[in-house]
Amino acid sequence: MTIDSGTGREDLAGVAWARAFARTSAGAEPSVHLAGDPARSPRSRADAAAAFGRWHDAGMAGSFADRERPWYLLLELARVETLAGNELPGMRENLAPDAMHFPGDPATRLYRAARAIFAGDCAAPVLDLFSTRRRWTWPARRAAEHPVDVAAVLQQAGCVLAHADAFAAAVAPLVHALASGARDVGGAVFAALRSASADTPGPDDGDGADTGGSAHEARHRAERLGYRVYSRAWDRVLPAEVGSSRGVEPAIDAASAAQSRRLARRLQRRLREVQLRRWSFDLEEGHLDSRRLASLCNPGGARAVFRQERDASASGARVTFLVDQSGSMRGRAWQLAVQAIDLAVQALEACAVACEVLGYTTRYGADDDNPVLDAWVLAGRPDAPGRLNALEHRVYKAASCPWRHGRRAFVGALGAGRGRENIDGEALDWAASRLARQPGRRKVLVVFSDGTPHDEATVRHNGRALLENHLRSVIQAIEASPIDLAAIGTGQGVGRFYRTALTLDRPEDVDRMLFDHLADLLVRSGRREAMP
Amino acid sequence: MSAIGGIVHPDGRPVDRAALDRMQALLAPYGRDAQQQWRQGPAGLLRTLLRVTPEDAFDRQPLAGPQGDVVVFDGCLDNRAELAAALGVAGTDLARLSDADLALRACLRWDTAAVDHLLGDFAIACWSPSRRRLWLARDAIGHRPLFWHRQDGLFAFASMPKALFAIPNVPRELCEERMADHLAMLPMVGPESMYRGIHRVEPGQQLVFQDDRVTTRHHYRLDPARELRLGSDSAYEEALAEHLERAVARCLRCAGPVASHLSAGFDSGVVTALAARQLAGREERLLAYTAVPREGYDLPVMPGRYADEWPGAHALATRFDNIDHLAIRSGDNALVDGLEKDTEAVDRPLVNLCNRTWDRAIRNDAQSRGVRLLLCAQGGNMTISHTGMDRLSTLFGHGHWRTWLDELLAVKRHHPHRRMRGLLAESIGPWLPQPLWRVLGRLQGRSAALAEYSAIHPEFARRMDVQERARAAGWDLSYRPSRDSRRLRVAVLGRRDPGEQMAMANLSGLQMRDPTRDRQLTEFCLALPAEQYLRHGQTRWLLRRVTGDLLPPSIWSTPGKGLQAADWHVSATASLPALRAMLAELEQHPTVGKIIDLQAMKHSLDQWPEEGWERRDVVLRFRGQLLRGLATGQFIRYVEPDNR
Repeated sequence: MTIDSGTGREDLAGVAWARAFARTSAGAEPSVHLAGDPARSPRSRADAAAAFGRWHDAGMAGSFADRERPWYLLLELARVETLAGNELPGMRENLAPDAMHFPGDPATRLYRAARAIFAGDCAAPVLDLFSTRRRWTWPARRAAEHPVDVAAVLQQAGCVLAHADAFAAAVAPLVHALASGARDVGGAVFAALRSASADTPGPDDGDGADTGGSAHEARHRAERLGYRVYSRAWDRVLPAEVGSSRGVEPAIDAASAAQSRRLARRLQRRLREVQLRRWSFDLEEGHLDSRRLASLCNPGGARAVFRQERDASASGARVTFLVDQSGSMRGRAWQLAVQAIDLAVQALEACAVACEVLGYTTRYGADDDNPVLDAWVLAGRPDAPGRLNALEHRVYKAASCPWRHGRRAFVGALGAGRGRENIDGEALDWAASRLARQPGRRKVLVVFSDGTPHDEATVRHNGRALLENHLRSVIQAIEASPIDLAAIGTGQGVGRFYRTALTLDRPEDVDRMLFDHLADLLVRSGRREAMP
Repeated sequence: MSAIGGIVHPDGRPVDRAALDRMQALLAPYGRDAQQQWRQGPAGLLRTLLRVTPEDAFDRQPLAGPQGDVVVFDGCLDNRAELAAALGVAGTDLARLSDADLALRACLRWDTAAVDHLLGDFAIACWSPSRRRLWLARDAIGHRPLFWHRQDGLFAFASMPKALFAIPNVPRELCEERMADHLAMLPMVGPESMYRGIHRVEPGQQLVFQDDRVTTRHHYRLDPARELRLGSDSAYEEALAEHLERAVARCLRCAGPVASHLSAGFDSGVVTALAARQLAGREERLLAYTAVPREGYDLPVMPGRYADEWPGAHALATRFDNIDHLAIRSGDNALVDGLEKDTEAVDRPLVNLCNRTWDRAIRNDAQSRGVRLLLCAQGGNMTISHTGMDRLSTLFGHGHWRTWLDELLAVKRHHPHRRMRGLLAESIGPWLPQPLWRVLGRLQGRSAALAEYSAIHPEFARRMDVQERARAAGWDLSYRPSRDSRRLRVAVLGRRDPGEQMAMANLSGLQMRDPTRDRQLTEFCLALPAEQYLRHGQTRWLLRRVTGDLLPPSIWSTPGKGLQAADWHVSATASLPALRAMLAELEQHPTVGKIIDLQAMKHSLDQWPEEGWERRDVVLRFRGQLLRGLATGQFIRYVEPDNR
C-alpha cells in the first residue's frame, strides 16, 4: 500500500512512511528488502530502508506515469543510497552498489552506472548501456530518434542529489525515453522493486488523522489467510478532493434537512436506551446486584455487590461506512448508497457519533491498461500470482472531519470514468484497521456493496475463489473482533458473505430500514459494552 | 410454506454457525414470519416460515424426536386426516399439529418410507444423529424446490441455490449442459441444476446421505403406461368431477385471503369457479386477477389466438357473488425493469419476460391486499384441458381410418378456425419419417430450426451436442406430434422444475398452488383414454361435460385461445433503448457471448419490425429468441458478475 495524497507521493515512498509509522506506533518494524537481492544482508536492507526514510521525497514519483515510475524509482534508489553513503560513512559499505542486482541486466547496469556517476565516477559503463544487448536495441533506436545523452543526464542529476525535485526534473527525459522504449525491462525493474513497495504501510486518510495500520500487518494478515498480492506498487489511498467532481452538484440536496433531523432524533432516542442501560458493577454502593449476592455468603468473598447506572455517551461510538465504488454499483445501487450514507452521516453527526466514509475500487478496470497485469505477464506469468490490480481506496470523510468537506466528492464519485473493480476483502481489512485504531469501544462498520468481489484480471488468472475466500476470511476475523459488521446491498448478494446483511430496494427503504438497522447495530454494540 | 436448509459434516467437525446464519438470512425473505435453526455437533438445520395454513401457527421447526432425529419440512400436506389416522393422532390433537409435526411423526414411524405416505406440495429433510444419516425428498410434482451440494467433508442442502453459496468453498459456476437444455427448451432430465456442482432433488425423488455416500430412489414417478378403464362415460365424469373438487379443496387450506389467476381459458376458469364455489360455502371471497392488454390495443395477434381475455374471464366472475374481479392492465414499465431482481428471486433464467410483467403486477397487488394464497392453473394443458387431438394420430396409425375420417371432419366442423392442413399434420405427422416431417414443415413454414427460436450460440450448441441431449431426454426438436401422447405430456410436465417459480411467490408473502398439477388429478388425467378427450369432434370432451355448467358459454364458444401479454411488442418497442443497452452490457461479458448468439440478437434489434407481430416467425424470433436470450444473458451475469 502506498500513500498518494494527490501530490504524487507514490510507491517506495511508503518505505519512509513505514519507518515513521514504526517509530510513532507500537507496531512492528516493517521488514524492508528488495526482491532479486537475496545477497543483501538484513543490515543492508535496514540501511536501505533508513536511507529511504531519510532522503526519499515521495511526492516526486507522482509526476511520472505508471510505466515511468519503476525507472524513476531505480534512479531514486541510487540517489538516496548515494546520499546516505556520503552522509553516513557507516552505511556506505552496507549500501555498496555491487551488492545490488535487478533481474534484467540493463536495470542493474543503469543502477550501478548511476551510483558510479553520482559518486563522481564518470567512467565508461554508461556509454554502451543501450548498445550491448539486443533487447535494448529498440530503446536505443528510440533514444536515437529522441536523443538522450544518458551520461549527461546522470551527471546533471548527480549535481542536484540533495534536491529531490531538481533531481526528478533532471532525470525525467531519461525516464521518459526508457519507459517509452523498454516496457519489458520496466517490468523486470518493477518486479525487483515491488516487494519493497509491498512492504510499505497501509492507508492514510489524507489528513494525517489516522493511518489504519501498516501494510506490513495487512500483508501478514493476508498471508495467514492464504491470500496473495502480486504487487502493491500501484495501490493508493486518496483523500476525497483528489480527482473529485467538483462541478457535480449533490443530487441528494433534495433530501431535506428536516428529514435528517427527524432521523437523527429517532436515532438519538434509540441510543438513549443504551445510555440508560449502562451499568457499572462491583461497586461499594448503589443498587444491589442480585447476581453477586452469593459472594456475601462466602467469608472471603467480595463485598462490592452494588451497581450503578451511569451515562454512556453516544459520542463514544464510531461508525465507518465503506462503499463499493466498482462499476456494478452504477445506477440505482449507487444512488441508494449515496442517499443512505448522506442521511446517516448527517444524523450521526447530529448525535455526536463520529463516523468515517470510505470508498473502494481499483485503479484499473477490466478493459484498462493494467500495469500490474503487464508486470506479471512480463515476469513470465508465474503461477498463482494473486491479486493483479491496484487498489484505490478513498477517504471521503475522516472521523475528525466534517461531512461537508467530502460530501460533494462522494456524490459524484461514481460518475463517468469512475467505477472499476472491487476487491472487497482488502477494503474491509483496511476499513476495519482504521476503525480499530480509533478511540472508543463501540464500533460499527457498515459496508455498502453488491456482494461478490470481482477483478477480471485476478479472477481470470486465479479463479474466483481467491477473492471470495479472502473476503470470507476477513469478514470472519472482523466478526470475531469487537467491531460490529453489517452489509447493505441492493440485492441478496451481500447475504452470501455477511452474517448481518440488509437489502435496500427502494429509496424509501433507506428511511424505513436503514435507520432501524443502524440503531440496532449501535444499540447492540452499546449493550455489549455495558455488559459486566 | 417454508424454506429449509442445512449442513452436515460427515467427518464430524462442528457445523459453522456463521454459514448457517448466512443461509438463514438468505432464505428469510422466502419465509418472513419466523426463522429458526438447530445445531448439534456436525449438523445444523434451519427453516424460515411463511404462515399460510391455520396450522402454521403451531409450527415450531426444526422439530426433534425423542431419539434425536430432527426434521425440517417445507410445504403443505394434503392428506392430513389420513396421515393422522395412520399415525394414531386424535382429531382434537390434529387441529393443533402443524404439517411439520405430522411429517416428523411419519418419519419416526416409517423412517425413510415416510415419504411414501406424504401427499401434497413438500420438501423435507430428516437428520438422524444416531445413524449419522440425512435424507431429503420432494413431492411427486416438485412444487417445492430443494437443492444439494456435496464435497469432501461437507453435505449441504437448501430450498434455493443462493443459500448454498453462502457456504465457503461452494463454487458458483454455470452448468453449461443445463444452460444448453434451457436455451434449447429441453426437459430437465437428471439432477443437474443451473449451477455446476449444485444438484436438485428431482420431483418424486428421495436422497439418502450416509457413510459419506449418496443414494437416490424415486418414491414416485408419473406412469405414462397406465390407462384407466371405467365402465361408462358417466363414471369418467363423476371421477373427474370428484378429482377436481378435491384438488381445489386441498389447495384452499389457508388462513388468509385467497386470490387466483383468471384468464378466459378453461383451466384457470375451472379452478377459479370451483374455488369460488367452495369459498362461498365458507363465506369467504375470492380475488380473481386477469391480465389484459393496454387500453385501446386492437392489433391482430397470431392465428387461433385472441388478445383480450377480460370478456370471457369477467363472464365467469359475474357468475359468482363472492368473486372480486380485477384487471391487471399492461403498463408502461420497460420489459427489463426489475429483471435482475426477479432473476435473483428464482436463481435461474427467466423464461418469459413478457408474462413476467403482469405476473409481478398481480403478486404486488395481492401482497398489498394481504392475500396469502394465489391459485394458478399452469399444468392444465397437460392434465384437465388436454385437447385429445392425439387421438387422430392414434386412429390413423392403427388403421381405423373410417373412424379417423369421421373424427377429423367432426373436429373441423366444431373448430372451423382450425385448418385442415394442420389437422392432417397432427394425424399423419407422427407416422412420417422425421426428415420428411422437417422438409414438409419447412415447405409449409410450420417448423422452425433451433436457431430460429432459440438464442443458443451455434458453436455452443455443437459443443454441448444439443441434438444428442434432446435424443437422450426423449425430446423431438422438430416438434413432430408424438405417437405417445402420455409420454409427451409427462415430459412437458417435467420440462421445467416448478419449484423455484413457486418459491418466488413466497417473496411476496404468498403461497402459490396449482390444483391442475395436483398429484392425484394428474395421475387420473394421464390415465384417461384418448376418446375421453376427443369425441365427436369435441376437444376436451370430458372437461366440457363435467364443467359445462360451471363455465360461461362464451368461454366454450370462443374460438382459439387467449394470448397472454398479447401487446408485448408495444412494451418491447418502448423498451428498445433499454434492450439495446442490456445487449451492449452482455456483449462485454466474457462468458455470455460464448453461450448466447449475441450477433443474432443484435441483428434482431437492428431489424426491429414495425408491424407483422401476428406472424409466427416474428413472434418466435423476437419474443422467443431475443427476449429469452436477454433473460438468459442476465442470468449468466448474475452467476458470474462483473463490473463492466
